[in-house]
Amino acid sequence: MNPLIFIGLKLLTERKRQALVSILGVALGVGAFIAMSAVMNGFQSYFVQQVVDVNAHITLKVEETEDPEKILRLAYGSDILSDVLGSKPKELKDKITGYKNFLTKYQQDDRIIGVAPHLTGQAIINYGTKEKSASMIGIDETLEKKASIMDQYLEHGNIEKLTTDRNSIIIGKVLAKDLGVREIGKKVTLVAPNGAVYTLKVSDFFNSGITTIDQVRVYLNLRTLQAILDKPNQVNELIFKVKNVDEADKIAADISKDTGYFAESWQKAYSNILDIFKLQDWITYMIVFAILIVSAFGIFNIMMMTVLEKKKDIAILKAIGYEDTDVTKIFVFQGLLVGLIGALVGCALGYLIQVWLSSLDFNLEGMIRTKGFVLDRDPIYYVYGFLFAVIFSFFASFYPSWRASSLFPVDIFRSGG
Amino acid sequence: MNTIIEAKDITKTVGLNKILKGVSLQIKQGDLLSIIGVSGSGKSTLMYILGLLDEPTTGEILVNDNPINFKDKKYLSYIRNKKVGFVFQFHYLISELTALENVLIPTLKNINNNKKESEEKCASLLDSLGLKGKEKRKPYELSGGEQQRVAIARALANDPEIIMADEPTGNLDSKNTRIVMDIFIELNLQGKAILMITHENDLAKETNRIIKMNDGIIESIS
Repeated sequence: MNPLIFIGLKLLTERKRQALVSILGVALGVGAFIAMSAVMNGFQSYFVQQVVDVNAHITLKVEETEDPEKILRLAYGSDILSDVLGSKPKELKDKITGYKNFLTKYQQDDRIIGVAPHLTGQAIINYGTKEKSASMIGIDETLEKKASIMDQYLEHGNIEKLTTDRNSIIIGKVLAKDLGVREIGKKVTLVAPNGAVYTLKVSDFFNSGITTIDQVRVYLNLRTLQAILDKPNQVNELIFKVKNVDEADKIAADISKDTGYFAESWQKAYSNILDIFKLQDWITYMIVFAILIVSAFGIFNIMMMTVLEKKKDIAILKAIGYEDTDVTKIFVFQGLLVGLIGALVGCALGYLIQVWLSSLDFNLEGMIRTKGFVLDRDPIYYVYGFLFAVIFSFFASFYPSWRASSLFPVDIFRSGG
Repeated sequence: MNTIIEAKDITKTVGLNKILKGVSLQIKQGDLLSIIGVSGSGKSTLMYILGLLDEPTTGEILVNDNPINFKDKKYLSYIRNKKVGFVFQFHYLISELTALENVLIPTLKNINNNKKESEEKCASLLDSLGLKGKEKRKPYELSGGEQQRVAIARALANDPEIIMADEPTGNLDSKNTRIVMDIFIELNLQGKAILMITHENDLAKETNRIIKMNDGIIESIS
């Protein structure tokens, strides 16, 4: 065995308590990193997955382009300071003209899996004495299944009922709960914006797990909604499902350019939440970083104490022919070994925490609704945790090791050790 | 006799304090010499410089007639490992290691050494110093005299040409002092040069040369 490893091992193993404390510190840091990464990223991935798949990768819609100062800028240039008061919003032409041509065109685009038309509108839903506002979406059942996976979130799988029974309605799970509708087949009353009242039969419940969606959304047959809103053959949205969700931004820009309508990617639509997630990531990693820093300081302190206590040994090692670099290596080796064992124990700890978290059975009701934690058990977190711990341990032990190597043996012999 | 280490007009100044003021000395093969003098006379400083643990302010050190470059730390370490064995007043044994492992440490520095052979040699050294059966004991399980004998065994592990001992009996009772002194005389008879710093005139008288130091210079050699 290499003499430096032999000496380092001896010094470490004979000080078991200190070594164990250091290893525990590193293990806790790594374990916390792995567990927190799995929880946070699991939650975020689940949310993004649900939101993206339930809604659309890209939504083509009519953009409100009110610009009361446009004419002033045309007349006086874009540098003018102006403020137009008393302007009222114009009536928006909320329809996509020639949408059938777009459907045909984009169904042949290699980057796109499916395109489906939507007509959206607001309504009030009554059930018994309960009354709730709802966000209606009229869909074409056949095209919808290609452009979204909303049918996968239906509790009874009755999407085709929208076609076979034009007076059926699919209600969001939370909305149904709020209204008191507990089973399918019940009849609810829908009050359209123009005051017309319709009776519809609940054919299914839509349960995406995203509370904000499930508490307002209802699905109807496209033709039915066109009749309710008095918009025959009109749609105001097209939704797209793309092969690569990360390319949604670029494809949306192309669609915007081609159609002249506003195509919004899922990244743009949920940019606020994605920004919050980024902030959340920062906070999470800052906490984990702090834990690792604390454990690194633990190693640093213990190594410094060891160096101070082992001054005599360092002096004699140098007197009998060991070089400065040998002494550095002896102590760095100890730090690295602590980091290495701590990282391995931390990985095991992280795994056990994940197993425990995934075994918890509870209903999470908040931004998302799940049974227990949604974990992202990506092995890369183990790799990162391991590497962080080893690197931190190396740096934490380097200064004490350098201090040890720079001790002047004569000073120690003179002081009598 | 070949000169092992030679000091040529060395001085050592620390701050404003002139510890050595021009000392010249030759240590030859088979020498048994002691350095005596009052505290602060520069005995230990001279030994540290001769043992290449410290650097003279001026002057020159030659090992086997080759001048030493004190900037070449690697070479200094090599010489200390191969040619010099140190024994101090305090044993400076590593408490986490057994007696045998402590003795083994200097030999491990040379990675070409066969560990098994080194272990056998070190065990035999301990045996020759009356420590048979105590190889696996930790330093705190040994008496003061035994600890110092382990330290001597460690100094001998690489078969050095010279042993430098700084007050080796300073912490020992008279019985152990005698044992240690007898070991040094025996080693000298086997051909090793011994340089010993001592306060005890009786011990110094047992050596072949007594160097008396006073205020940083060699006052007399007898």
